[in-house]
Amino acid sequence: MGQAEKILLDESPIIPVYWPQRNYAEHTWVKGIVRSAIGAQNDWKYAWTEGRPGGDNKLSLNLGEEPPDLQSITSTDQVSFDILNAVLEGMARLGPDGDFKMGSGLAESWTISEDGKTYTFKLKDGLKWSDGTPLTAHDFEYAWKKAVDPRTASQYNYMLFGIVGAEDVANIVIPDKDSDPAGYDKAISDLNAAMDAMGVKALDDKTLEVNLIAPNNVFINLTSFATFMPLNKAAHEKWGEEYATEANKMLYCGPFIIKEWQHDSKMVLVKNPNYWDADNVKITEIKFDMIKDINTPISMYEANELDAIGVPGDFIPKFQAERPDEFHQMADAVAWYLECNLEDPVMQNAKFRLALSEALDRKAYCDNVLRNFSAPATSLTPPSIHGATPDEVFAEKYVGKDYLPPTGNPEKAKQLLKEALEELGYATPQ
Amino acid sequence: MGRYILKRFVFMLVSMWVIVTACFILMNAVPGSPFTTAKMTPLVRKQLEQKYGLDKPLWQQYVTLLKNLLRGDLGISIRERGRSVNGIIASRFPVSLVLGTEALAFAVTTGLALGVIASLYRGKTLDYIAIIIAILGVSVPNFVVASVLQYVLGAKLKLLPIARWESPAHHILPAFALGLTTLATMARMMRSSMLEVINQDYVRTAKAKGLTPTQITWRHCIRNAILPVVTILGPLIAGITTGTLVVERMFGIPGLGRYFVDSIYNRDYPLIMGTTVFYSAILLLMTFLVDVAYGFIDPRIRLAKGRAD
Repeated sequence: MGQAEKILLDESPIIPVYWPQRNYAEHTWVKGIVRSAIGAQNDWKYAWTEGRPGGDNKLSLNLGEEPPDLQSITSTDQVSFDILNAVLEGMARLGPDGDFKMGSGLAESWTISEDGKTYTFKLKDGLKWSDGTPLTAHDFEYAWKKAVDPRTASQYNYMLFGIVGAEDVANIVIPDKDSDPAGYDKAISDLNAAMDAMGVKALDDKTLEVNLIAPNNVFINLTSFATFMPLNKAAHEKWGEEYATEANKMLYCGPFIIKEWQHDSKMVLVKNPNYWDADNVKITEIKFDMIKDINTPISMYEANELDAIGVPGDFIPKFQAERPDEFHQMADAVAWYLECNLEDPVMQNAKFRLALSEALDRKAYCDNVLRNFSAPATSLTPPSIHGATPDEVFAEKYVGKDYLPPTGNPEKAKQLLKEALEELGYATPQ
Repeated sequence: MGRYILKRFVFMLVSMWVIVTACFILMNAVPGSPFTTAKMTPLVRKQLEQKYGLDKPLWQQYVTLLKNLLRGDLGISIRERGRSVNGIIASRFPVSLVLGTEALAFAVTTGLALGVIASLYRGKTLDYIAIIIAILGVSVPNFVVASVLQYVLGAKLKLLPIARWESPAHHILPAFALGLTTLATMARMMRSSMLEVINQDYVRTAKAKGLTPTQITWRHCIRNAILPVVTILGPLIAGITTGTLVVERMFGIPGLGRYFVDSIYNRDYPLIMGTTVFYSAILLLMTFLVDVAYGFIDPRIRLAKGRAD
C-alpha cells in the first residue's frame, strides 16, 4: 500500500493539498455522540442529554442540506450516510470506544475461517423491519447482490469487489432491450448465473456466508458501511425507483425511524420501537433542519435552537475565546486533492505535474486561506488512518513523513518545470 | 385587441422554444457531466449515462427533450435519485410563491406609498427620509439585511424566529428581507414618475378647476404615474415568486430558489432544464399579462391598437 501511494505521489495524477480538520461546537448538555473520521460521521445511537433546555433526550441539529439519496446501495454522500447509519444497521456498528465489537450490530456473532476468506454471520434473534416483517440473512444477500447489479449502477459497487464473483456481476454489460432483445436476454441470464455464483449466500434465515477473494482485516468495519446495509426485497421491489425518496417509502431497521421528511426543510427521526437494542437508545427524537447557509446555524446555536453545529473557519477564534468548553476538533480521514486533467497534452507530462505539486506551499494555503486548522497534505493517506497497529501512523510509517514538502520546494519545482518543458518540446524560458 | 393578444401569445411560444434550445446548447457546452466528480468505475459511469439517456447522440437527446416538454414531462432528477423534476417544482414552488407574494405585497404597497409621499413633499424632510430608505434598500444587499435582522431580532431580542419555515411569524423576516430591494425600486420609480406628472398641463388645469389636492393626487397624478411602474411589475413578480436563492438559503426555506444554482453545480441536466423552462414560462406569462393589462390601463394604447385592427 505504501509503495502504491509513493508511485501515485511521484506520478502525481492527483496532487494532495490538505487534510481537513473537523471543527464543531456542541452544548455541554449533549453527551455521547459517537463521531467517526470515516463513513457515517455522527452516530446518535449512544447519545443522551443532561439538562437540555426544551426537554432532555431530544436533539435539534442542522443537516445542512437535503439528503440526496437514502437508498443505501446507491448512496455516496456524507449527509445521507449519517441518516442511513441512524435508520439502518449493518452486521456491526462502531461503538463509543472506537471498535466494531461482536454483537454491536445486527449480527449476534461471526466466525472467520482459518484462511481468513470465509465469514459466517449469525443474525440476532427476533430482528424486525419497521413494518414488523422479520429481518433475515436474505435481506443482506439481496442488498449485496443488488449493489453490484449493473442495472443498479451503484457508484460504490467496488466496495464489494473483495467478495468472490462480485466484480464479474458488475462487469456484465446489458444491451438495450428494444434494439437488441436477444443480447439483452443473454446478458440477463449471464447476470443471474453470475449472481448465483457470487460469494454471498443466506444459508438460512439467520446465517449469512460470505466468501472473500483474499483475507481482509477490515471486512467487519466495511459491513457497517451504508452499501452493506440490508434491504428488504419485497419493499424494494414494491417502490422501485421511488424507494427511499419519501419517509413512508422505505423500511427501517436501525435505532431510529424517519417520522417526518419535508424535503429541503426538515426531517424528524424518532426512536424505533422495533430495534433490537431499543432499551438502550436514550434519544427519543432528533429534529434536523436543512439550512445551507453557514451564518444562520451559528445564530441558532447561540440561541440554543441547535444542540451542535460545525464551526466554519471565520468563527473558530470566536468560539475558542467565548465557548472553550463547547468547541471541539477532530481529524477527518479525508484528503483534498487536485485532480489533473490527463486528457490535456501538457498535463500528461509527469514532471510537469510533479512540478505543480512541488511548487505548492500547502502550509501557507492552510494557514492563510483556509484558516480552519487543516493540515498540509504531504501525502495522500491522512494521518488519522493507522497502520498495522492503532498507534502507528500509516503515512509516516509506510510513505514517509513529509513525503511532499509542506511549504513547497520552489527550486525543485523550477528544475522539474525546465525538464518538463524540454520533454514537451517547448523553448526554455530565459 | 384580439389580434394584439394573439400576436403576443405566438411571440411567447417562440421565445419559449428559443430559451429551451439555448439552454440545451449551453448546458451541454459546459464542461463536465453529472458523473464526472464522483469516484466510480468507468463501467458504472457508462451504466449511469445509459440510465439517464446521456449516451445517445445530442440531436436525439434534443428531440426526446422537446417531445417530453410538449407532454409537460420535465424528467427525473439525477442528483436526487428517483424524484421527478415536476414533483420537485410542484412541492417547492408553492413555498416560493407564498413568500414571494408576501414580499411583493409588502414591497408594492409600502414602496408606492413612499414614492407618492416623497413626491408630494419634494425637498422636505419626508422626501429625504423616503429617499434614504430607498437608497438603503437598493444598496444594502438582502443577505446583509437578513443577517442583521436574524441576529438582532432573532438571536438577541428573541422577538422573531431566526430561521425555519413553520408558523406565520417565520414569514416576517424573510418576506421583509426579500421585499426590501423591490420596495426601494418601487419607491424611486414612483417618485420620479409622480414628479413628471405633477408638472403636466392637465394637473394645472385640474388645480385651476378647483379640485381638492386629494382628488388631484388620486385621480390625475397617481393614475398616470403608476403606468411605467406597472410595466416592471411583470418581471418583478416572476423574479420574486420563483424565489431568491439567498433569502431561502439563509432562512432554511424549502423554496425553488436554490435549485437554479445547485442544479447547475451538480450538472443535473433535467433539473437545470426544468427550472429554466419553468422560470421562463412564468416570466413570459407575466410579461404577456402585463402587456395585456397595459392595454386596459392606458386608453391610448387600447385605442391605437383598436384602430390598427
